[in-house]
Amino acid sequence: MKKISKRLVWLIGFFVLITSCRKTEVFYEKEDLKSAKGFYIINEGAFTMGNSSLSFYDFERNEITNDLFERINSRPLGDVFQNLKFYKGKGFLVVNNSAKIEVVDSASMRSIQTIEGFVSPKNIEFYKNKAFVTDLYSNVITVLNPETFEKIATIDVNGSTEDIVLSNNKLIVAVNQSVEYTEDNQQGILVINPETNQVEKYIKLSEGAIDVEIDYNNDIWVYCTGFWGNNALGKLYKLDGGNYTIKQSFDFGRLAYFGAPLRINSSKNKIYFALAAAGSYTQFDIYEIDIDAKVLPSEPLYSDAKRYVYGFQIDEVKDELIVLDAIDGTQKGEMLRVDMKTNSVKGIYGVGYFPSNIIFKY
Amino acid sequence: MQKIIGLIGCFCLSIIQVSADTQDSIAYSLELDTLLVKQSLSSNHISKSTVGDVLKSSSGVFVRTNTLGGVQSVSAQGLPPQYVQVLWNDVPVSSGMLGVADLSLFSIGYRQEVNYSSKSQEFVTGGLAGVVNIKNILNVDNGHLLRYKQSLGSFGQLSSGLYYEGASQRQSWSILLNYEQAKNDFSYNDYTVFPNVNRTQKYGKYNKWNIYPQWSMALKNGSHLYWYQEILSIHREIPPYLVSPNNLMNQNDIAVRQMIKWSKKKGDFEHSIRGLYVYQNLYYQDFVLNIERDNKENQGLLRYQGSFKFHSNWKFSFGNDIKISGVQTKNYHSVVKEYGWDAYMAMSFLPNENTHLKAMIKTATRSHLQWVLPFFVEATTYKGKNHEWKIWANISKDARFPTLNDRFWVPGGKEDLRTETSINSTSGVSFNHLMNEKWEWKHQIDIFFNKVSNMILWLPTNRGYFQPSNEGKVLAYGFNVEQSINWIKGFNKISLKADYSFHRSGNIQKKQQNDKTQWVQLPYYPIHSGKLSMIYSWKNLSLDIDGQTYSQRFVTRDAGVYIPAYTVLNASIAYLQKIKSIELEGKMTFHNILNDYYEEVKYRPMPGINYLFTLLITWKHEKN
Repeated sequence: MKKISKRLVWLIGFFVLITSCRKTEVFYEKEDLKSAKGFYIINEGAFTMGNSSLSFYDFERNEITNDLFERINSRPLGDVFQNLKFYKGKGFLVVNNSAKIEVVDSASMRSIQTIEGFVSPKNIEFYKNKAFVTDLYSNVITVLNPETFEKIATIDVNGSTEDIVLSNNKLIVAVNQSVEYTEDNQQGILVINPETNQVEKYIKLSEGAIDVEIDYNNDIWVYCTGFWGNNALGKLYKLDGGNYTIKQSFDFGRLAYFGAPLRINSSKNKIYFALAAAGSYTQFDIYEIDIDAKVLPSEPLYSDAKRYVYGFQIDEVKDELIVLDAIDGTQKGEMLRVDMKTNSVKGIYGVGYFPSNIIFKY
Repeated sequence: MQKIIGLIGCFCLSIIQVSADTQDSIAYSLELDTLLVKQSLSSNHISKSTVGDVLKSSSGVFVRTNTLGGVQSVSAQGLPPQYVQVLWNDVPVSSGMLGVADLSLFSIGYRQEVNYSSKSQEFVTGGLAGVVNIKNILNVDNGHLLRYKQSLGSFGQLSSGLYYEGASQRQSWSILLNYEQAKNDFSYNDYTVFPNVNRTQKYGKYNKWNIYPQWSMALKNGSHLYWYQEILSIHREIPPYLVSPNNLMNQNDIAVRQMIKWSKKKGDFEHSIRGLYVYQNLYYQDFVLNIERDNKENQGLLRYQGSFKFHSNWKFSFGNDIKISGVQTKNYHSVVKEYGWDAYMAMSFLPNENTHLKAMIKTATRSHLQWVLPFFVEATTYKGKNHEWKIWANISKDARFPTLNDRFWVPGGKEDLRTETSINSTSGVSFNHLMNEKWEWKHQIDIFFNKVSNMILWLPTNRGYFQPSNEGKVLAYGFNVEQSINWIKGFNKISLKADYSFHRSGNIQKKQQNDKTQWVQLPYYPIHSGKLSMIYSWKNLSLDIDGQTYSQRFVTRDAGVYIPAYTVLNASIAYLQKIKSIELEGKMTFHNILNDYYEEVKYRPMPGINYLFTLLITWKHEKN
């Protein structure tokens, strides 16, 4: 009996040792998240696998919480999570291939409502109690009431709509030629009046307009991926924010597919973009360009042939580049905090499948 | 032993029978001892609809589907479904596009046999995890038989079937007509992801019909002609994913398989020519790769394939001990306008009556793709009277050519992919013990080892699409244990069968430093699985309980998402009544009697407890 007890003690001790070595994840209960500062990570997930998720990195604790939505709401988030934006105390999670928007309380991340009835929602933007939802596979932008979650109107377009941002009280929408490419489809940006829900202007750019940023001068930066179907190569445009004329265009000289390739620092004077490394099939590099630059930089800001960069963001406050590595897309990815001055990695954290975007929470 | 099993087979309405010899077997094919599954598909499987349903209860193989009436794929040896080649009467019918066969498009004929062998390079190149062979049997008794089948069950399940067969001195013929449908509008309590939420499965209905005629004739010069045909059409609404409620698809599949065979035997020489025509709508979503896209132009290029094959067999015998046979197969693929051919030479050697040595070497190519040289060597020894002990071992090499998808899918397909290769070894021992006229015990254990190199993986690129590459290297090993007991006393018969399988497989190639897929069980394949079957019969009444249990299965390559373990138990009661030349058979089956919530494909719930009642009316007229 004594021998058994001794073994039992050893066994329990060993178990305690093993479990204590394991790094436990923070699980936010109720209001804990309200005061937390850090950033959300959108883990897009693999198409049709239903494994998208939301992670949160806490600055103070230097820890990451994965599967936040699922753990708080006891159900999976859905298939292909595209974007998250907050408006009046609510978070709107756009879940593309589940054709829905999950609305959560921004303090607790508890589910409030699931808005369904979309075809392939991509991004969301807000203006005076209106929410505008772009769509990949339907030629409409849906207008919602973000308080009642009812559909108010639709705006007809001719192509896939991707990113949508507000600038000078106008909505700037990246419009793409869609998966089934036709010459008639629009490609470039649409300028929409959010008061009247009317498309006021269409500016044709090269194929694959996908991402938009507004800089310090209110100029509009548009990232075009190109299109493999007709060998059109990627381009970066700078448009005048007042009259929407092209002020500058940069040729990438290669296809430039990337989910959310364009970023801007909080001072809005530097643009960052991801670009496929020349001669490589899997590597993306990250470049930095001043908003007044006339030529593309020759050397990337960040380059790592061992990583499959799928998303990134600039933290100007901490002077960090946050890199999201999807590894090979069939396994959970990693988030890296890279010191912008020394280019050294400050930390590596496990996240979800296909991490693609970062939303700050200060 | 055969006598006992035959007796049980007569009285138990759902026991697996020892199948009769088929007239249509390739006379000189090697009967491998690695044959792990051998089931006759006949009226015994009255509550099963497809070949996949039957294989689900067989050990050593793993079948999964996404709903009742949904797409079914079979996998084995821990590898994905595209590594199991499916043959229809010895000719490969796996999709040229994806390399996978949808077993729901193979209905159960009245007289058929389904085998699973861990290797069979003589028939096909590419079955790195084995070969499932669905074979028609045309040994109709001299007379006529007419059968009507009617089933009714939960979720709007309904099926009707009519079968007729006849034979004269030189000819035999049969035709089977079937129709089935289900609404699939079942409720389930999804406690795994939605605690205490009762939901209703909607939009999962399907309807299917098929015609299955067969005919054979003995010609005056001693040769035989055979004709088999199956036409099957199915319309199904794919139920939406739980996480994607609007993601609903309609799918129409049609499969047409037609084979004409002529053969003549003369002494040690056989001529055999067979032609197979397969038309199959290949549009369905692959479970593993998810590379289907709704692009009409691409589907127009890749959806259909036709191939025509000629087999010619020849055999030489040197004395009574050594036999050499060979086959040459020529392929022409109408989609990619490519020719290919397979040829093999096999030798069978009998050093003594208890030992059997077999060896085969093969060469195969598909147009400009590289040549491959598969081979296998097998040794078997029998010991004891009545072949009570059997021990076998083999080693082989096989290769799998890239699929059309791998090579030509737009965008991403790569024409210069290398063939996948495997080194495979299986061995086993079986023991049959006849205690007396009442008891029979059977034990079998087999182990396997499989190493696959150049495995094709579709991975994302910086071009905006996925591309295949030969980056995978997988090791798989495991074993199957099978125990069965048969007991007869008077009118009481009991048959018990229990299987356990341990199949471990994983990627052994570390691609990069943070690669987390190393030695993680491959997706959708359980490490542990067990199957149980208990049949008790008394006179014309029989009770049957069968079940399958599976350990958790990972859905992703890094084990990050998984399907929980589950057990499904089914029970049935059947009664057979003969009135002169008419047989009436009624069977009530309850599926999933534990009402376990389970998924075979992530986020697609399977039905809870449900029933199916089947009535069979058979009229048989035998000529003297």
